This record gives sequence, structure tokens and C-alpha cells, in this order.
Amino acid sequence: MTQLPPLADPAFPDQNTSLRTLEYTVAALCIGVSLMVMGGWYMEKPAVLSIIPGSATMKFNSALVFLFAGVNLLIYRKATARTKVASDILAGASVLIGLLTLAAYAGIEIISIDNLFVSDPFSETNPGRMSQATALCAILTGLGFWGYQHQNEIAGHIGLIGLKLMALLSLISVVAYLLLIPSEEITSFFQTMAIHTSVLFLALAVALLLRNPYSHFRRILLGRQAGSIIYRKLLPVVLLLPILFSFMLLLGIQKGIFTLQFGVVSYAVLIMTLSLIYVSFIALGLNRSDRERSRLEEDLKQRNAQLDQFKQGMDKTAIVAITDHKGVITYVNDLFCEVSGYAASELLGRTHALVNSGYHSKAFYQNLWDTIEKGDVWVDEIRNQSRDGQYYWVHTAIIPLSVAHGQQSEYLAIQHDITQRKEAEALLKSEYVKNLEFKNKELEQFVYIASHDLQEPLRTIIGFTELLGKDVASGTAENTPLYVEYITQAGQRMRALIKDLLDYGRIGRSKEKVLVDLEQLLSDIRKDMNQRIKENKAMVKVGQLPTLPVFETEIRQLFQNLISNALKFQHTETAPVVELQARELPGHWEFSVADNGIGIADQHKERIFTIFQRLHPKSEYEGTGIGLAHCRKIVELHGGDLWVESQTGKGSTFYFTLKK
Amino acid sequence: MSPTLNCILLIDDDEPTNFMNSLVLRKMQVAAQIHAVQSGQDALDYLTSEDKAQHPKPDLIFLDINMPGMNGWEFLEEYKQLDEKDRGHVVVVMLTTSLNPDDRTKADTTPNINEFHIKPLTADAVREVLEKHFGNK
Repeated sequence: MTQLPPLADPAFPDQNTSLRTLEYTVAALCIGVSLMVMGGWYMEKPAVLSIIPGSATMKFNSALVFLFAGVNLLIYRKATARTKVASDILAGASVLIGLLTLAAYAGIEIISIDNLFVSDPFSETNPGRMSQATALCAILTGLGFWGYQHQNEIAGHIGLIGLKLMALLSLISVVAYLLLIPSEEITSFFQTMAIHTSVLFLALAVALLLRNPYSHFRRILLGRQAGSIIYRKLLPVVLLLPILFSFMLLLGIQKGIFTLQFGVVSYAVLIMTLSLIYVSFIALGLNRSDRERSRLEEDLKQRNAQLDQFKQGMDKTAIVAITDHKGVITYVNDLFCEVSGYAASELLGRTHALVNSGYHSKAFYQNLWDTIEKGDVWVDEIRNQSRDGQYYWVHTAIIPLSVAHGQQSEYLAIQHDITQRKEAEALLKSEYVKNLEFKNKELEQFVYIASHDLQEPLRTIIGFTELLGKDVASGTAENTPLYVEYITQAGQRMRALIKDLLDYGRIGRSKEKVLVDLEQLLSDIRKDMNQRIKENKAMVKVGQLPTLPVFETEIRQLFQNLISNALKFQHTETAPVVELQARELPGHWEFSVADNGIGIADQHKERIFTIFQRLHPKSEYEGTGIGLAHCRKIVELHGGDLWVESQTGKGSTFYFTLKK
Repeated sequence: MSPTLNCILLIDDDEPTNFMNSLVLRKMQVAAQIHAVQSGQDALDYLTSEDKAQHPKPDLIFLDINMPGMNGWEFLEEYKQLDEKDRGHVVVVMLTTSLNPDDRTKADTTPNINEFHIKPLTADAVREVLEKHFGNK
């Protein structure tokens, strides 16, 4: 069985509305006329029965057939079980009426239905009996409804043939009436078909043909293609022109205006001429629209060519893939294969999960799908994994492609490899770069220090040397010892600063890390500092210390500096107590050096670690201010941190970490 | 040039520098009194002192930036908080060896700083300051 064309075409709702209007009109006409005729029979009003005086009447049974057909037209398309049965009964009734009538004509009188309901006092022959043509049309009407109702091919085609035959029969009758040819003169077959009978059958045939699923009539009549447009334009001319000229021909011959021969020749020539003129107009219009179509086609070709070039360009620069609505890959370009390392055949039919690196969250992909399923373009950066396990970053735009009504959507992914940029970004955040930044800062500080701290003693030396020179010139010696002392102090300070700077720069230049028993190291340091500890009446307590891989010289200096500071920055009246502890943490050891000294104010807790920064006048606590800068550099060399917690006046605790 | 100012305050942690600057100012005889202190805290103590005979209000302050403990910037923060009577119409001149361009920008945008001079303090520089801020000819 072939696939049935849709009965109601959803793409053309206006067609369906106009068809429905037509059906309702025909139905109303059938019901109205049939009721009127039935009434005419009961009240014996011949005017409504034949309309044209003296011509054939519409029989009661014919009216019954039209009543059935009218009702059927109203219900036959509603596909409920009940309406189907009702439609079949109505169609069957008209077939039955037709068959019984034809049987009567053939002399087989099964049941006499001619005057079953009313008696016919007007017809001379076969009173009350419809014409053979009408009976046949009644059968065909029933078959037409059946053909629609029972949607199988055979019923449909039988119905279709029947409807065409019915249209032909009723058309002959209608034309005969139009041309005022008495029905008796055509054939006995049509003898008693009334004018309204033939018109109603024609209308019924047209209405049902338009609905029959196997009929091309509707498609041709209501279509939008060029053929249908021409069909509609030609239809009135093809129908009306012959009728009009035939009428004039008959009239002319009857009235003796011209002879039959002349009339027929003129008829033929006129029909040909007028048809030709009309067809020419249509042809001209058709040519015009054809030219327009060619132009559009050319335009389309050009646009297609442009699109092709566009695609070529895109393929050269971008990674392109197309997937179906489920994300299954249906197309990949060469660059996609090149970057992912997969062959096209391996990718087609799979999803992008193949190159998923597992880097992004589920929510990330959920957002992607939510966006494109809404029909929006999704843009972001994705980390993918190629066949050989390498990660690559792609800047990705996913574009939902618009598709025809009712089809599943497709997605176009355009990607650009941004791996290098991502790597550069990652490098910027890396330890290596941080280290470089730190080194740069350190270097800047060196320049600053050179400019400031080294210039100060130098300026003092120059200034007082000048004064000394003036004193010598003027012979005064009053301030000479002071000037000499200032100059000497400045020179010594300068020497100390330069030595410290060199030491600072040298930290970490040497050797490799060695395992050092820090407890042993501290015991050595204590021995070295024994003199100072005793002088200060200090107490230095050392807890349990680990053995760690360190730069030995630097670590020794670190502990020495911190203990030395703890002894140095002391209240004059208090005995210094220094406590050294270590505790193990995940990945590293944390050391603390606590004292009971003068402490450090909050605002100075960072500055103390800067080179040559001092908190106290040289007269109070001596030194260049490099000790803690050294300490910090040493700790950072070991990958640790150094910081201080302190309360002014109560003491400070310096903390630092060393990796295990 | 007769002394036009009553008192000048020098703030610098370096004793030789204070000595040298005092010498320059004294030679020029621009102020009746010249006081030198060695830290920002000492300077604040001086300014807030009740004993105005011992610690007269300075007409002009020369301030060093780079000092241990409270540096020049921190001193200015504290200076801002002082009573109007303790600050008076004092012109603060930053004296520094700093070549750090950040310091210059900072000095230019700090309202209490009227001048920014690079050490050493010279007679010419002092003259310039006096002309500009005290109308000395």
C-alpha cells in the first residue's frame, strides 16, 4: 500500500479553510434544495421540481440522495467511529437507491421505490423514477464517500473513477441546459435529469474530488507551483469560452443568421484565436517569471560559490565539526583531524567525548547544551585531549544551524587552537615567573639602595672633606677632629654596606644541598656565640631539631642572624631568653625563634625584611640593616617562608619553614 | 641677609648630615634658631612640646625620607594629625638622596610637602625656598 498523502496539508491552512467553506456551501445547497424539492412533492408544486417549465423534474428519491449527501458532507471528514458508520450508512442508502432504480429500468422489479414516499402526477413515463444518469450518479456519489472513508487504495481509486464519471455526466447535463438543448434530444439516458440535479451532482463531484486523497485535482487546482497558477488562469476560459460560443453558434443557426457550415467554421476560428491570444498572454507572463527565476538561480549559484570560498577559508584557519542533534559527529575538516590526531573515519559517528580531557565540569557541558538547545551560540574555551594524550586548548563557538520545519537541529562547531596562548598564561602564573618577578624586585631594590644608602656616606665624606679643606685654608682647627671622625665613620659604614651587599648577592651561589643535622649545627653555633651569650647573661634554649637537606653555610647564617637579633634587640635591664623550636607539618618543618626583647610595631613587620632598612637610630642599635634581608633570602632559597609575630615591648617570634 | 625666620627644624637620622645642614643655614643667617632632631618621633615630640621657649614653633622644616623606624612618609602621616597650633605655617621640604622616581611622584602629590630637594642642602637651595615661600629678596 502506498503512503497516503496527508488529507489536510498543515503547510497550507488557508487551502483547508477554503475547502471547508466550499464543502459547507455544497452541503447547504444539497440539503436546502433537497428539502425544498421534497416539500414541493408533498405540496405538489411543479415549479420547484423542474425549475425550467416543461423540463424534467427532480424526483423525490433524487432529493433523498442529495439530503444524504449533504449530511454526509458535514460529517464524513470527522474520523470518529460513529461518524464513520453514519457516513457509510448514508453512502450505502444512496447506492441502494441508485441500484434499485437501475434494476427497475432493467425490468427487474425487486422493490418498487419510485413512488415509495410520494406519488408523481407530473411525469408521463416512469412516474417517480429518476433518470438512469441520476441513478448512476447516486451510486457514484456513495462510492465517492466510501472511497474517502475507507482509506485503502482500491476503494480510493474506485471512488476517484466514480467521481470523475459523475462529474462528466453532470457536466453534460449542465451544459445541455445551458445551451438550451432539450434533454430528450441528447439521449434517453439523461431524459429526466433535472437542472438542479445536474448542478448539485457537479458540485458534489467537485467537492469530493478535491478531498479524495488519490486525486491530483486539488494539488493542481490549489497548488502554488507555476503549473497550478496556469491551470487556474486557463480554467475559466476553457470552461466558459466553448459554452459561450456553442450557445451563440446554436442561437445563430436556429435563428437562421448564418448557415451551419459558416457557424462551425467561425466557431472553430474564434475559439482558436481567442485561446491563442489568451495563451499568449499567459506565456508572456510565464516567460517573465521564468527570467526572474533564472536570475534568482544565478544569484543563488553565486552565493553558493561565495559560501564555498567561505568554507575553504574557514577550513584552512579553523577546526570545524558538524554534529547532529545528539552531538554525534557528522562532519570534520582536515584541521580537526590534524589537531586531534584522529582520522575522520574514527571521528564520524562518535561524539566529542572522544577528545574530552576530563578537565571541565559536568555543569560546564550542561551549560553548553542548554545554550545551543535554546538556539543560541555558545562561546568558550575548552581543553581537549588528542589521540596521543596531549592536551590542547580550543576557543570554541558552537552554532545551532537553522533547519526546515519539523527536522532535528544540527550544530556547527568552529574552533581555534589556543594552546600556545594558554601555555603562556599558565607560565605567567608559574613558580618560575614568580621567582623571576621576585628577582626583578630584588634587582630594583639594589639600584635603589646603591642610589641611596651608598650615597649617604659618600656625601658625608665629600662634604666634610670640603669643610676640612676650608679649615686648612683659613688656618682654623677647631672642628678638625669632629670632621675627621665623621669622615672615618662614613668610610667604615660604606665598607660595611659594600661587604653586606656582596654577601647578600652571594647567597645561594655555591654548592649543593647536603643533609645537615640541625641539632648538631645549633650546638656549633652556640659554641661560636658563647662569649656573647655570657656577656648578655642570656639563656638560649634549643628544642629537638630534624636533619634536613639544606645549604649548610646559609642555614648556619640564618640561625646565627636570628639568635643574634634576639640577643641584640633587648631591654637593657632584662636578661635575654631565646627559645628555638621546630615542629613537623605536612611537607615541611616550621621553626620558631622566640625572644623576650623590645618587639616590633605592626607597621614595621614587613619593612624589617627589606635590605638596609633599620628601625632604630645607629646610636641605639648598631648594624647596617641587612640581617633579616639575608634571612629572608636564605629561607626563600630553600623554598620556605619567613615572617614575624610580635608585641611591642614583650618580644618577637620569627617563624620560618624549610621543605622536608 | 638678616635672619627672617625665627626657627628652622632639621629632621635627619644621620648626625653628620644634621651638622652639615645646620652649618649651611647658620652661615646664611636666615633663622634665629636652628634645631636638629634625629628621628620622626623626636620631631613630633618637639612639635607637640608645651615648652615653647625651649622648642619654638619652626617656620620651616627640612625632612629626610629615609630614616630608621618612622620614615619621612610616616612622619607626614602623624604630622597631618597634629593640632593646627603645632603645625602652624610650616613649610616641609623633603631632603633626600633618593633617586626613586616613585618618591618624587609621591612628594608632588602630598599636600604638606612644598618642596622636594636632593641632598646635599646648598645655600642656593635654601635661598630658593625662602624666596618662594617667605618672599625674601
